[in-house]
Amino acid sequence: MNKNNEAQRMEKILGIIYEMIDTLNAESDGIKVVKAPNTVLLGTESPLDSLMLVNLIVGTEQRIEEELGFSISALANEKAMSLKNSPLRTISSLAEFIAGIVKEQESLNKNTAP
Amino acid sequence: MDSPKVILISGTRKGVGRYLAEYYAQKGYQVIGCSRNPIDFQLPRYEHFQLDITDEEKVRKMFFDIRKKYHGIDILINNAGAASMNHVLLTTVETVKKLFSVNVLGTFLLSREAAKWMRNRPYGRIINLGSAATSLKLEGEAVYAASKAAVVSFTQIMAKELADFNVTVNAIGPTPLKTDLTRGVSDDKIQKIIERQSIKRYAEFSDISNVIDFFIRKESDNITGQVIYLGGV
Repeated sequence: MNKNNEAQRMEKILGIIYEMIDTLNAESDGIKVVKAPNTVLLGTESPLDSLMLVNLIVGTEQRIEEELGFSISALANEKAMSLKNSPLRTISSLAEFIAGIVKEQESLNKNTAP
Repeated sequence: MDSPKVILISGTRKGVGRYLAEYYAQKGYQVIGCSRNPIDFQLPRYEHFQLDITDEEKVRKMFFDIRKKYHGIDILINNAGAASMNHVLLTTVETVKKLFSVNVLGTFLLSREAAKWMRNRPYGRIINLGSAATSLKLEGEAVYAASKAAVVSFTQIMAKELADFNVTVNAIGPTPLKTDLTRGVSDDKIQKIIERQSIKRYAEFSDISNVIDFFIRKESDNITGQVIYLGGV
């Protein structure tokens, strides 16, 4: 995949995350989550409560699978759940993390295709 | 029933699982079953997946396929289980790993993936299989009872975590049934267990479906984190 395609993929993933944030914001009476790459998702600076975080991660995972048409590894894996340098800490790190999983899965699917 | 609810039952190749598959298919549910080994039966409104429920990627793939075809699931019955009866001093590490893997990890994986798809829907039910061995603290079943105790704790805490998603989580604790799990146990030992029950008889498969019917009723949406033991244990 060339750089252009990778940029398109990142854009698509960010679009899906923002779509999820729109849904969360619509359901929330409290603070709204800003749709920006540097928005913090984890820790005390995060505007998300634990339920919103669960919905964001699971909803994004499901939308990505629908979009791609195949199952990907769970986003809630050991790496993601590690507090130190978690890929879930901001919107941009989450998008990069998902892009890595998708790339890995696509390459696996290519190698195992009949 | 307005539209057929989709019900996933693990361990449907034989015993209680197969009975439940037949029972709910006959009641008009769309039943999806799974087992590690192939099945030798077919049913209307029944689809089977062959997989190891402790394999995370295979479990996720099954849920992805279910989602594509049925747009989600309404009810999960974590029936698949493994048992082994032996004195703790004669129990192998392999046995412990197997029991915890199937009974706890398998239940966890199916529940986690099912709950993801039940989320944001008005109705979701997860029913786990505990065992009277836990509450009776049966000698010779230390590891099996411990794995089922883990299922009970998992049920009770998951019930709290999934309450916001309109998903109830409950468990049933059967007393001895005539299945493969008890085949290797002597009649004398089973009889001693039955003597400790308030209602002194073998459990029937229909005793289990009766409790599940209660848990999955629409009106049971205020019942969660509960364990119902058969036989007054």
